[in-house]
Amino acid sequence: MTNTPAPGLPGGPGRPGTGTRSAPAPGHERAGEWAHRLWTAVRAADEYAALDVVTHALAAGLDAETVLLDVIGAVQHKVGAEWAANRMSVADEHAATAINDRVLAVLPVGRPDTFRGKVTVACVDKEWHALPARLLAETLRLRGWQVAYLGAQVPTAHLVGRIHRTGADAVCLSAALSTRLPAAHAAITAVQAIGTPVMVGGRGFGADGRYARRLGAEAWAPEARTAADRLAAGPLPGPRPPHQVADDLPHLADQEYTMVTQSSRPLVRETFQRLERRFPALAHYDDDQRERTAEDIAHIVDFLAAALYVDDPDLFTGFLTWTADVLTARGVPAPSCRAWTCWRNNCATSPAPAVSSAPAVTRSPPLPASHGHTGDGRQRMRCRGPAPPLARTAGAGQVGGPAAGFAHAVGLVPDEQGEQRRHGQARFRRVAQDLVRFDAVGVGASLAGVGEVTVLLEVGDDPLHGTLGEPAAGGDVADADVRVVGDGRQYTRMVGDERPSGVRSRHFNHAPHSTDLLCLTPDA
Amino acid sequence: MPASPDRFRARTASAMNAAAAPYPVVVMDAAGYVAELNGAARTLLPGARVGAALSSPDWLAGAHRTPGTGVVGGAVGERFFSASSSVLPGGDTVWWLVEETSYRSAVEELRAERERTRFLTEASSALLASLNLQRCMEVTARLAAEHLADAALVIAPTAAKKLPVVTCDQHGRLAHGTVSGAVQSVPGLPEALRGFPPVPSRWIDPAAATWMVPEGFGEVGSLAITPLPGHGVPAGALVLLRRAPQSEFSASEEAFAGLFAARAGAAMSAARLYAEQNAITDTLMRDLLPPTLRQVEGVEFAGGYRASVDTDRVGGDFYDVHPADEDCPESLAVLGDVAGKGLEAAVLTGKIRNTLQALLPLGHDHDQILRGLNSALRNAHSTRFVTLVLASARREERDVVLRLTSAGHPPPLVLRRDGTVQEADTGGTLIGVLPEITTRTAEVRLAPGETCLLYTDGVTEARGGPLGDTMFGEERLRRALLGCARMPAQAVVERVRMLADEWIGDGGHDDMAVLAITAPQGAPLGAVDGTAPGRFTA
Repeated sequence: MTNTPAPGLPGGPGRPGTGTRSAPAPGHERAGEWAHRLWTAVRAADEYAALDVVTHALAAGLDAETVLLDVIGAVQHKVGAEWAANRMSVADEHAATAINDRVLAVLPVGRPDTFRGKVTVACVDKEWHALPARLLAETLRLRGWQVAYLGAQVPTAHLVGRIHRTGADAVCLSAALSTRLPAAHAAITAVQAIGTPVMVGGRGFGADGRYARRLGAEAWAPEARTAADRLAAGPLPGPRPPHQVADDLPHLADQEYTMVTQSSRPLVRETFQRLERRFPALAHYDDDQRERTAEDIAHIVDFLAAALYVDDPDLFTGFLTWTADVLTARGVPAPSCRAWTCWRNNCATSPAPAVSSAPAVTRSPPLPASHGHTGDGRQRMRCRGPAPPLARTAGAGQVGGPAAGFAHAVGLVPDEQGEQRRHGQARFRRVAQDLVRFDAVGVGASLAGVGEVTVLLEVGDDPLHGTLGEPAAGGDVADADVRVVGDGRQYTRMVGDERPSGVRSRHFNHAPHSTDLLCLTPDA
Repeated sequence: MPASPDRFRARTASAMNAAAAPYPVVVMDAAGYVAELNGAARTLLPGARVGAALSSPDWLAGAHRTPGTGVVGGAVGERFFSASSSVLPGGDTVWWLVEETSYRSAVEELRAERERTRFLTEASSALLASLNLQRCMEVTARLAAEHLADAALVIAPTAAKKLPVVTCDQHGRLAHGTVSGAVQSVPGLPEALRGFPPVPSRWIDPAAATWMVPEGFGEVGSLAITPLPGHGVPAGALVLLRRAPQSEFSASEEAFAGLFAARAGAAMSAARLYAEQNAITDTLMRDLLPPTLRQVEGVEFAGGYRASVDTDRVGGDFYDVHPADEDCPESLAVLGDVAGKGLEAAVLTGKIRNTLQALLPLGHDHDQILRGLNSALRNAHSTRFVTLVLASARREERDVVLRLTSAGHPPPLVLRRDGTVQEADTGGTLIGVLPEITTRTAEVRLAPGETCLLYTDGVTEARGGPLGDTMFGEERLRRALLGCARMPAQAVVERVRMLADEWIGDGGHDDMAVLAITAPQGAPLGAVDGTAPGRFTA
């Protein structure tokens, strides 16, 4: 897979992505026209035509970096935008990305005047979105660096062995999905331990690179040009002395992340089984639909684990927002997003903020500064600002917990109008219909919504530009007729309802096998 | 006011006789005149006279002039003393001196030792971190320039005439270079590179080493050369440069440089060993790695491979594409699976791939190739067997015609433009077990955009999924392929690999290989270079 990523994180407007033109090179004006031609060729899945476009663009005098980032990179962005807008299928997207990848080979090999140094560029383990890293590798090569490009999903052991063998002045690591952050952290720490500084990039590290800092990377860059400029500006600072992964993230000592990760499969299984009991329509799903649903639950758990890892609820809620918005682009009606707003407002210490026309993602959630729940006697306010610890929020029996937020965010309750809208897939419509009867503000509904999540996570270059970045397309979070779900407890008992005194500590102390930490369904 | 003998006598009635104290005791009046000295004080301060102002040591006289000073200390000649005061009823002050010479020197030595230990620890962890020789040289040069001298050079011995040199200058900047003949001009350097004991620094004339001096360094005051001891062989030499007019390296500094050099040398020879081992592995592994595939004779090929152990690069699955030549007008692709995993299986795949290449001239007849391979394997010592698929591909107009033969292997899947997925009708016995084998070859025609996918059972038998224990299965693979018609071969392969990897998650798995053969869409044959010589080996 070679495409840019999906979500992971709320982003601001004008958020730069890999290959965006933050610093247009000469010839940029003409690049748009070539990008259009390349897009036409890529859209027609015509590899030869695409190769011709790039060859001709170079012959017409466009410099290689402009062709790389403002023609090929721009097309890859468009692929993502088109996909997010549901105008391109997964297969089209794969094909387009494969052609773009092939086209990159046409670019001239840079013959640097001076030896700038060696850089290794790789995607972290399990990260399939390789094109952003490839664009960076080619950019650096054009600028005279000796680049070792290792491609998608590089196991950390491979990466380290490679650096031992060939040496590197810096390592650039790419992660498109925030679920890769634990793997990314392992890689960053390992590379630093062999004395090599690390620069990271990609959506996975947050729109502002916040996770890059948290995971201790020496540098972060939002896109290829910035990354190349940073490397050109001087060597990265030497890495810190060898240290343990947990040294960067002392909150991991509370075992929340460990617990959720270790029990993720049972968690998914249990949630799924309860869902089956609570939501009879599931029995009529075919195997594929059931599997998708289970995968969606697995993704929720993955994002929850990643959020726990970096101790940032925004990561989890950002995922939910993104999901809701991309679903909106697929004709899934907006209630999901409205409910989402509600959840955020429920969490707020202040009354619901007046929602401006700014994209939902730019409004940082006004989460409570302190939490009523002190069941385990530890008041953990370790993450910056007022964000409460995730699991506690989830466990506190509040509808304002992320899990409930998830339920509302992606739980869509299609209305008459929604029924008539275009649905991406038949199975999805059927689920949605069932949900009308189910009247689920809670979880069952959410699962219908996330039926898409799996697919969403696989593909899509930069869907954020297509949807999340634009309030109009991102769902009307500002909608005045927000439905009140603050009282959602009447529908949905959340995790920990029975035990507001602290699910987390209970699980850890007494029931490590327990699976209802993230149980989204109430007991029937 | 001068002290009177009467007052002195009156005080001797005290229970405590300071005069007999083993420590120097000085009594002074308020004006700073010495009222009394005991024997030890007289010995220590020969210049002090009763009734005269105390002139030496300064620090004691100064402390006396500043009332309220607590414990003070300072040098007396070569020795160190601390002095505490107590005030007598008459207003005189008694200074009690305690010698601290050995304490002070112990503290000083401790500090220096700690400094050295910290440096050596830092050096060790910095040196141990990397197994890359150049990096080790850089770290050695940088640490030496920071802690031991103003600038440092590390020279590594190699079989080549030009020796790599890393220089760290007085600003901490690293420079790489090489040196050849100039080495001989510096006394002690050729010896150090050969592992002889170091020549004392004072014997070396810095003027002989101008080529070593970094730009802007200024005049070299002194120069020390230390051999870097390796694991049985010299690992190189460390040259320390000090700017004039600093003193030359003392014996203890040179000894300490030796301690550091021992660590640096060990790290550098470990790095060299690692590099040598890797070079050997790479050479032996070269033919076992899955080849990089591309378009051959107008037919798109793409392969994907994942070894069962994620840190391995090879395993028991393999694939190859042999382009057409005069003997055989069709390109021959092969994908197979040797029983077993790991390096041992990989070695067998190498043998099978070589045998198949030798059998290529029989390419028109799959049955004959497989028989040849069967007898070769049965005659070998190995008891292993192999399942594989042979695919001969040739262009006909814009279509690609395939002849597919499976030998005990899952039959290839064919993705049609209409979105259906078919299984090729081929079958046969596995290779390497039975004396006689049977095969059934299928002919498949691919229209532009259609793909034939060869895969090993590592894909379909992968266990995982969201619930953790489900087999990926052929049905799921077929479903995954439904959307893949009209994709380039590479995209199909990546899609299958990605789905399988996601399915597995963090779980264990067998070797997995996929090979896609696609009839290209778009421009006609010849638009791009469609030929490539020989077997594709990465």
